[in-house]
Amino acid sequence: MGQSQPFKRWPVLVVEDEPILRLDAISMVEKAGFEAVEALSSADAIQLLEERLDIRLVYMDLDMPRSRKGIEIAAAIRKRWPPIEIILTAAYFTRDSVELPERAEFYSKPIDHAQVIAAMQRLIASGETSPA
Amino acid sequence: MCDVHDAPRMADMLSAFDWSTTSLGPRSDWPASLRTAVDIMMASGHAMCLAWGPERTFLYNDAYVPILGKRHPFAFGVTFAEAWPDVWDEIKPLVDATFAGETSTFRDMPLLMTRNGYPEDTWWSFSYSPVRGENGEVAGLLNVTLETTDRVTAERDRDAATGELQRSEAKWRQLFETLEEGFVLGKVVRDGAGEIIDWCYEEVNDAWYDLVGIERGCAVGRTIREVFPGIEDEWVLEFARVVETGEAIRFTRQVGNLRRWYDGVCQPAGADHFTVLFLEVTDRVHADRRREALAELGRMLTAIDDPEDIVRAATALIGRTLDVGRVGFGTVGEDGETFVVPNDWTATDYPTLAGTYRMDDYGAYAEDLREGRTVVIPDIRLDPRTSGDTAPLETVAVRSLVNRPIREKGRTVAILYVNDGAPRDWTPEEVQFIADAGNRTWTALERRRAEKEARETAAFLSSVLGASTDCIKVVELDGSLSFMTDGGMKVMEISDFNTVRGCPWPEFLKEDGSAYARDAIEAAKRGETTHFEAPADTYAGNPRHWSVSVSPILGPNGETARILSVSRDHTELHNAQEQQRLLNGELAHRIKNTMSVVQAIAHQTLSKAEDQDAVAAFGKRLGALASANDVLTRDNWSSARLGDVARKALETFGDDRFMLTGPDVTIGPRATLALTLMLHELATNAAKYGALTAPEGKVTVIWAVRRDGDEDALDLSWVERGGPPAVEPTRKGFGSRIIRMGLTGSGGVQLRYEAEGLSMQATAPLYQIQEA
Repeated sequence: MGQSQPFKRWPVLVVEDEPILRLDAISMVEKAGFEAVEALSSADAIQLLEERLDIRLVYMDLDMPRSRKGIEIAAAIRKRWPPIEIILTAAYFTRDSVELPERAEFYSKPIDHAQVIAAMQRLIASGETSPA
Repeated sequence: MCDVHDAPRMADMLSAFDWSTTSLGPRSDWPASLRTAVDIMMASGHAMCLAWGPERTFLYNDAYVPILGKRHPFAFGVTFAEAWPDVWDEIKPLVDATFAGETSTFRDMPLLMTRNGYPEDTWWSFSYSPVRGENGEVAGLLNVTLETTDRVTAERDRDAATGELQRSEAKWRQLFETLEEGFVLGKVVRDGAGEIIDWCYEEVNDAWYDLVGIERGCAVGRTIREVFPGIEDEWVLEFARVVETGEAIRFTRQVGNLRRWYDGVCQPAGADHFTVLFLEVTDRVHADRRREALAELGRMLTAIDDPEDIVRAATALIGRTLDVGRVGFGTVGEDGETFVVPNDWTATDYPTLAGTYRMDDYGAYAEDLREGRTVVIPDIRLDPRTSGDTAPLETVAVRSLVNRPIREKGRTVAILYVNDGAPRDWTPEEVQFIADAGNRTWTALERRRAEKEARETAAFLSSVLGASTDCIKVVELDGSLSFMTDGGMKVMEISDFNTVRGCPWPEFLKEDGSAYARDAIEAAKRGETTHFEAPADTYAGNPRHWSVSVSPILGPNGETARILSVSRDHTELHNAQEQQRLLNGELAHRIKNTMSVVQAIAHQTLSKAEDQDAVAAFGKRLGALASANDVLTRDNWSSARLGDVARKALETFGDDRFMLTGPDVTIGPRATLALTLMLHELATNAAKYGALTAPEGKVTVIWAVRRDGDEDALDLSWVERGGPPAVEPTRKGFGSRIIRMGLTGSGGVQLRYEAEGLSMQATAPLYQIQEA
């Protein structure tokens, strides 16, 4: 991608229950130049967010069935940790069928890696310039 | 009589008269017989005259003078002929007979006599008797007279009075005999105990005989029981009561064995006598009975439902009213030949004619009946239509008949027949009555038939409605419920329609259903039929989903009078559809998820590969495939709108770079995939080499349906402008091949690499594009 050094290797939380997709997402985060932190469920994710206060972005799959609805978790994250950027993906949902939290972005599965990487870099960059 | 008289006494005249001038000769020469006769005469106080001798010389006494009147005294001593010249011709034969020895007597001979100074009518009796002479021969005639004026006058007065009486009696007798009313003077007959048991005709006028219809003169002296054996007791008892009570009565009564009706007044006439004045009112009574019968028929016809009972009641009424032997009502088949009598009314001893016949069995008058002419035959032995062979009729006790055909639409549809076993003169009024009764009966039967048909139709419709598992309702124009089928109440779980009658129907529906229902009512008022689907709970609260059809029920004026709403329970279908929608959603999710996994595997597998662009292209093509999938999911994988497909395929390339124009066209799933992949490749190329590389570059996508021969064809064009000149690629990769496969995978694509940019024209038959 040819980005230079302004990006710090910020931790990005990947919330995805499908192992292969999680692997792919981690490699995408790393390709974007960030540190991937894995969560296997939304409960995991909340716990990690409580522990790792340096996480700047959450990449989350809304389709995870075994817990609360993904979109509600996303809304909860936005409410509890307003500075954290959120990128959502789903196979079941479409962009039109969910009410996205403020500033959150949505990419339908299968995602375009280039698009999502660009989004991650763009969101974290915008967070950098804002007074943290 | 004239004892004192100035005129010379006849004795003196006898002495003074010169008899020698007569054929009698001088008085001294008279024979003893003459002298004796003259002496007796002259001495008698009774008027006498004597004619003597060959000349019939006339002598008379004082009492005879008044009889002669002015003839006296000339008549004394002349001949008899000279004394009575005016009557001589009449009396000469008697005079001659007397001289021949016979005695003649005249009684009450009239004589106009003036003896008291005025002329008066007098009557006399004469006796001419012969007087013998000395030799025994008849020598003279002595006429002894007796005045009978007083007796004759008295007799005449008496006769005049008798005549007057007789004239008066004749006058009354004539009145009695010419009286139109029958008149009877009767005297009761008592048994040994004094009980009245009968009465005797003492006087009967001709009118009575004629009214009663028996021979004149044959009743007087006989009793009523003798004249009319078996007559009703009332005829005796009522009149007995008049005699016993002395009070007159009025009556209207039938003489049963005469079939006649009489109005009468019976009055006491003293001493066991009574008079009866009769007027035959048979016609009036019959007219009354016919009129009452028609009224009764009218009541019966409305009260009775069963057609056979109607026929039974009507024929009985007609039969009793006309007092006939048989009345039947049969229907004539469409062929004009079959005649069916379900039942008929018969008097005692008449066989029934119920059954099925052929019209031609009725001989020569069948044609009359078919033509609608009433057949009236007073005596079948005399009517040319039946006289040829009377046996078939007479064996069923038909001697006289009236057959009344009933017509409808120019055809004889039924016949009312009236028979009697005896000849009968049918009056026009009776025939008219039969016609009226027949027509009314037919009308009633037709009405019943129509009503029955209507009831059966209603029952049929009701059973059809009842058999439906749909909820069939009638809704008034204001939206209130006014009817629901039994089946409808069952599916709606309503036990008593009254609990929902009049309730506003739209409010039973949930969600958008109420609004749909209101719209449907408005549409129905305009005469339109509409359809919608909506959820509604049953009355018991169970959720259901309904497919509702709402249509107008037109009134007689063609305007919507009410509204028919048919709701079918689509809950299962609806649930199945919902299930299918969920399954489709799940399937789409699974497919996209699988695609994501495939993509992840590809990324991980090829992460060390040289050509990372190819990996990216693969990911994007997979994404395009997924977008087509999304569009198709919306309509259960059966079709998608071309505009939606194009927008979705181009979404990731930037909304502001594309202008999409075209009609709303639905395309099938294969065309959706092909179009998505084609547009994805075109857009990818445009982003790499074409219009999208330039900031101002734009792409216009236009599609249209046009007529191509017998079929419709879809044209779709892709035109890039504002970018670099298009250059045909030297190497044709997978992307190029996808584009050239076109909308249906079989070509129909033209690519032009022009200075202004790339343009592409794809064409395919519309039906192929819309195929599943």
